[in-house]
Amino acid sequence: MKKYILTLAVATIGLLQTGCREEELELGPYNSITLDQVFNTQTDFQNAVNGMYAGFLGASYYGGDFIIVPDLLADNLIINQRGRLTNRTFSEWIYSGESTSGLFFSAYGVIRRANAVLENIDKLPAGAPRDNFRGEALAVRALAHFDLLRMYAKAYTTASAADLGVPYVTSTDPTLKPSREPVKTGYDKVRDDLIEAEKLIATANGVGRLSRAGVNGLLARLYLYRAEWQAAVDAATKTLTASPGIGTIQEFPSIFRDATENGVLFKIRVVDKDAISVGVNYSQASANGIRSEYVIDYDLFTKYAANDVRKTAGISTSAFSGTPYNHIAKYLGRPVGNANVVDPKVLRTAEVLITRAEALAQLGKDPEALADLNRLRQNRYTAFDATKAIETGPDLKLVIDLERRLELAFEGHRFFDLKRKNLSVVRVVKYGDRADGTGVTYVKGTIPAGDPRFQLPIPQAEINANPNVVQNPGY
Amino acid sequence: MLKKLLLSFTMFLGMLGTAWAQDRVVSGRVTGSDDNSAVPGASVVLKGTTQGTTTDANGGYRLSVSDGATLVFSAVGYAQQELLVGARSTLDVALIQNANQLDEFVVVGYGTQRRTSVTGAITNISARSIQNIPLANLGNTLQGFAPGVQITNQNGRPGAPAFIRIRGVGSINAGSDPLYVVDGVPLNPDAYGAINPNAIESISILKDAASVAIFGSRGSNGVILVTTRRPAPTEGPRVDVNVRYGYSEKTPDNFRMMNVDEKLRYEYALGYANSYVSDYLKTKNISGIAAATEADLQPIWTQLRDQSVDWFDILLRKGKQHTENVSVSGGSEKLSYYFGFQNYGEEGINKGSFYKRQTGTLSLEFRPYSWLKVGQSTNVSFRRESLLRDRNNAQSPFRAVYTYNPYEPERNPDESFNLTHQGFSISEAIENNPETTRTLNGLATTYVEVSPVKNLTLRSNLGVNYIDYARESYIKPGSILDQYVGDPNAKGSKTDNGSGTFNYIWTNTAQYSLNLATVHNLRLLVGSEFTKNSFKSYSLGSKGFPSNLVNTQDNASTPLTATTARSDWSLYSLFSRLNYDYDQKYLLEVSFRRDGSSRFGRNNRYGNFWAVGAGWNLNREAFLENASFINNLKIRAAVGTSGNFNIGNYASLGLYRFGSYGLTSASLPSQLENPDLTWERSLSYNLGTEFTLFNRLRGVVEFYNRDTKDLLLNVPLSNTTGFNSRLENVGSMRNRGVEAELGYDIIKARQARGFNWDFRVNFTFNKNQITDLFNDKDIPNGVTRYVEGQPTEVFFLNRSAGVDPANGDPLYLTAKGEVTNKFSSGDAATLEGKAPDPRYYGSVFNTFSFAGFRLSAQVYYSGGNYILNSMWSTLVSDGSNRASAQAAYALDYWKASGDNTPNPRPTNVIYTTDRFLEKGDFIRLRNVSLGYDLPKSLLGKLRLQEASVYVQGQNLFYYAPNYHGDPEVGFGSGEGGGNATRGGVLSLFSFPTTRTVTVGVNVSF
Repeated sequence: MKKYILTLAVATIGLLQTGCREEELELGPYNSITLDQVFNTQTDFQNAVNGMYAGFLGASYYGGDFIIVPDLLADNLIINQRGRLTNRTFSEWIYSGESTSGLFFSAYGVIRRANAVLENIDKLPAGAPRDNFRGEALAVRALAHFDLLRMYAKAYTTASAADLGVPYVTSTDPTLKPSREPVKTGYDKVRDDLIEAEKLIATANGVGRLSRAGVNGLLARLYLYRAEWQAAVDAATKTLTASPGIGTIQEFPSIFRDATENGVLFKIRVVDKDAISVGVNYSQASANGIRSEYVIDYDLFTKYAANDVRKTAGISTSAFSGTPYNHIAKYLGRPVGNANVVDPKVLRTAEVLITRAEALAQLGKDPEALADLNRLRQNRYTAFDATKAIETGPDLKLVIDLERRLELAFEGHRFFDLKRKNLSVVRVVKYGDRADGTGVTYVKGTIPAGDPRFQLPIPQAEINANPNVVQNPGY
Repeated sequence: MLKKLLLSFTMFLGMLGTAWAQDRVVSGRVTGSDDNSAVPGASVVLKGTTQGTTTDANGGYRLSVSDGATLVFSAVGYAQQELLVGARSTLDVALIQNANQLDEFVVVGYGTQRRTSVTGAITNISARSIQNIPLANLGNTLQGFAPGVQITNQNGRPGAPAFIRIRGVGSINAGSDPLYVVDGVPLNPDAYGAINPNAIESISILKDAASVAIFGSRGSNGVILVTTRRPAPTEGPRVDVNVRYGYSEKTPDNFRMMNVDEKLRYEYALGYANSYVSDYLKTKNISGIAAATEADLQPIWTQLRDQSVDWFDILLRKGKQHTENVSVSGGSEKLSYYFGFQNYGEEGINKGSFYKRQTGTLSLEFRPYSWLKVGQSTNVSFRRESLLRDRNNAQSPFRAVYTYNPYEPERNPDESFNLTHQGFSISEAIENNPETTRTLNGLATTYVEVSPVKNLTLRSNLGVNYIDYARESYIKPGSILDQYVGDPNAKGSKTDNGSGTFNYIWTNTAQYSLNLATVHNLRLLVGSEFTKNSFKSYSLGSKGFPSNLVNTQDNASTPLTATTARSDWSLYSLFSRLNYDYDQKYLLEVSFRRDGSSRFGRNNRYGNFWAVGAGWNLNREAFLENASFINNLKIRAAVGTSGNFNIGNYASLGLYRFGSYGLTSASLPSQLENPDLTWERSLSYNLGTEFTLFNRLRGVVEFYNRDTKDLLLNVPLSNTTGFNSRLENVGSMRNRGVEAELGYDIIKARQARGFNWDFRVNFTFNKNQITDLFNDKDIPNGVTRYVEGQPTEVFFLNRSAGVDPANGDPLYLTAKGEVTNKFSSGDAATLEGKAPDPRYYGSVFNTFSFAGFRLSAQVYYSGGNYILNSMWSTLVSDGSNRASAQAAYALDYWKASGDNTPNPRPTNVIYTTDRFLEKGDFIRLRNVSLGYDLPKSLLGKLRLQEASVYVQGQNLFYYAPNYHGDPEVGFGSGEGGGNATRGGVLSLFSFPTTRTVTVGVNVSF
């Protein structure tokens, strides 16, 4: 009897086990969520929107390279022979398809996150939150494409109808192998997305996110790159009306210590935990003083007047191992926390102001342009006398260009400004890397206007994986 | 009824050793006729029944029989014997060694099989042949014992695991390690660390489809089956004591380092002033070393010579190791037991290195009725290890022994640690940056087996494995490393991390045997199995320790990190096997398994695996009856499929993870969905023959071909999708080879304890080739790549073209093959056929025995592989490492026009080229041992059952004609080196291989 009961028991458990166990094989991760769990509630969308901005933070994007590289490619930064000799690929214009994948991948990563928000947004009920998220996603998608176009394609102003931009991606389908579209088409799509975003986005999302004033600021930048002066003025005016402050002389140094948000329209939030030190590209502190990778070009250094707050707030002259250098001070860090960690500034009100000045000057509206210029100068030069600052015509344009360079130095603009104006990069090679202009100079001095190197090569990895993408000429 | 059962169980526990004879009991001892040594694990079966037992470690057995019974004795390597019990109550048997292993039983998946009826490729290794080998890790122990099984130590760290490749590398991304199965329970590779090596009975290595298909989606890299000692009815409790002591040291190098004079002159010739010399020049107002004459330098050179040291002596030592093992086993008709405890300890050859392990085993089997068995076996091990920084940088002690200069003393005159030219002191780091791990590993198996009717057995088996791992790494406040990487305001840092793995495996099987018309033998096995594995881990870090005396996290001023992670996988399987033979002459074996795995995509969650094997025992044919020299001759062939499920747990799912933006939550897409993701599949063929001729020559020869398809590869995606790649099943590879094992009794003793000379050799040749890749495109992987038509990880390097005799420039080949003196990374090329996996390997064994003495030697050889010898490159360096100690070979450089030297003019730059890609062929005296078994007469007087002493040497000698350093290269370096999943690509100063001498005593009473 025992025997049969036991036999039955063993046989039964054996047979029971052969029963359905499908659910035991449906295991999900603990530290992640599956696609059906990502976009349901308003909080979900908020998280995904935050994730979009977090994408800007990559070390190849606003967390590092995209801030320094446009200055390295131009004439604002010279390598310090006593640094670690990093980033020479860009400063010596020796990049190939193997060395330019960082930004490309990071920017499309952001675009992918924005597209995921846009594809799912209709799961939210109609209303202000939905419009705001949609607006932010459109604006972020536009900004990332705009950055790609600036880096990898010809300037809007010099491109022919056939010159290729970058693929404008509006889907999250991982199987897509999109082709490059004409530069002009790309710029049009950036514009369309920004215009649509401007209608939807909220007026106040905080400076860590885009808001309406920020989107108008980006539109002003875009129209400037498109040389559509009146549109630039109109967009800039919307921003400056909503958010006029550009930071006073007293406030200006605090902007780069994250001690004030005045004058900032959009920046990327960084905390120590993120382990993103945007300043490490420029310098690191050591027992022997600040050890810079790159210091300010001496010719540019001489253009800062002694009473310019940007000279003291943006540049720090001090010795490393006994030799003085002019270090970049915009990224040394906050008063408290890890060294070299600050929020990368993507869009400041001062840029919008000087953009409007440039556009007004191009429209021949010199008095209005001068007014904008002087408003900037009043907030940068101590004891600035506006009555003596009365430039007009070509002089006015030159001063606007100079002030634009001085204001936005080391914030990722210089190379693109030269490019959109179809100017050469001309480095002053008589100067070296030391604080007094002596020392070792640039390895290479000039790339002429229109040189293929103004367009960085499309990453080889992309060409390998996506046969529809063709390389830029010259690589 | 359950209550009664429990009660009975408890009663039996209390009556250990009491006989429960229903009939009368016969007992005895099974020995080998050659040397009268005990034969443990021999099978003793009542003829015509399935009832029986196996002998204990001393060869003893005890069995209940009825009058007129015949006992059938069989054991690994011995001819089967049948004896009528008659009126005897003691029945000792001397089994005759059987060259053909004809009647051996081998362990196969979910059962055992008579070797004659096996149709697959299985190598069986008895515990006896490996029990005295002084290695902490089972994998290393098996090196060279089985053809088709290539084993490379990861490195020389005590207890370090080995890379085991059965019939070649079987995968690119999904791992090539075999599946481990302990007592029928498939386990994580780490789980066999719970097993006391002395408790192992035998090891079966399953190599081809016919034998592995029953393990389905986990079988494609082969299976290692470990069977532990099963308690057997014996004459009474038996105690085994084994102790072993030994020492180890680094295997010597086959090259020489510069001595202090050579080094100083070399530096002078290269215009390099070390810190001592440059300080001295300053005091002498000499502007630089270029301006100094040899005479100027003599005083400082003399001083440096006088203060010179040997860093090998400072940082290395003779490691000591010890093993103490005690086991008690015995039982009765109805209950048998095995208790064992082992204490193992090893001091590594580097200061600060240790490995300590305690292992306990308890096995019980209770047989209340002839139709019921219940059993439980529990293995627990606890091990502690120190980890030294094994990374190719200034923190590595293994690098430091080579690169610290002889003129750099360990300590400064004021007794503080000398920071050397590396800015670091290893001696100080070993003291002040300790890193230790602790691992608790428990494995318990419980089973019940019922035979309700004759020939039918139902079995339910539950295995549970728990591994608890903890690591502590402490950078003491104020230590040199802390000054470099620490926070000056919060000195000292500590990381505690660890994990817990819980795995349960529940297996239910039913087996039915049938004999029809006496010649048709049928056996059918059906079963199901469910496995679930849960893993959790944590990591805690903090900084700011007030004192060296405390190092728990609560003492820190600033917490840094706190993370946890969890993951699970599960596998559900149904399997079946049918064995049929016609009069043991014609064999047929069919197996099938269906696996469902949580790891794979919804669309491909289930996979079916199958195998068919056939065999023909020709010696049983009438037409060979007269060929008396043929003792055994079998031909067998098999074909079948198996899989590899080793990929990430959730790799098929589209996932988002959470991060942060500023201080708010953010969700981030982290993985693309691939619902089609599935296992890699192998289709393999095996053709083999086994033979024994003249009762002396025995052998197994096999040919195999394994095609693996659906290789898991990261297929590149357009970056515009926001992703680089997605894991997909594309790509194929092939392993094709021949393996052979031959044994010959050169001299066979005519009487016990006579002179015997046994010679054995095994050989494997394997050709690995990638047959298909996604879009036919090469996949780069650092210094190697995956290329169609080439072996896996064929080297991809710039090619060196020697030295220009005119000016001493190093020369290279361009991509087009032209000679140039300009190095360009774009000229790197695929070096066809040059890859890190050995193409051939094997062992030669010689065993001599006489009058109780036994001398045996194993020579292991391996070759056909290439290793990028980065260590050698660092030590030659063309001046680029002139600040470090260098090999004397570096002195042979170009000096004047017309010189023909192996090394160029010291340019102070060295590029990675094939100049340091060296052939890895080697021969190693893997093991030599001399033992003595006390004769029976003496044993009786001493009231001992068995006693032996031995002395043994491991890795005493190697010969590597083309390689500089020890050629057994696993990891480049333990941490990093980019080679976590495979070995042999490059050498980066990892923990050195050791040679060991041990003495041991085995006593049973």
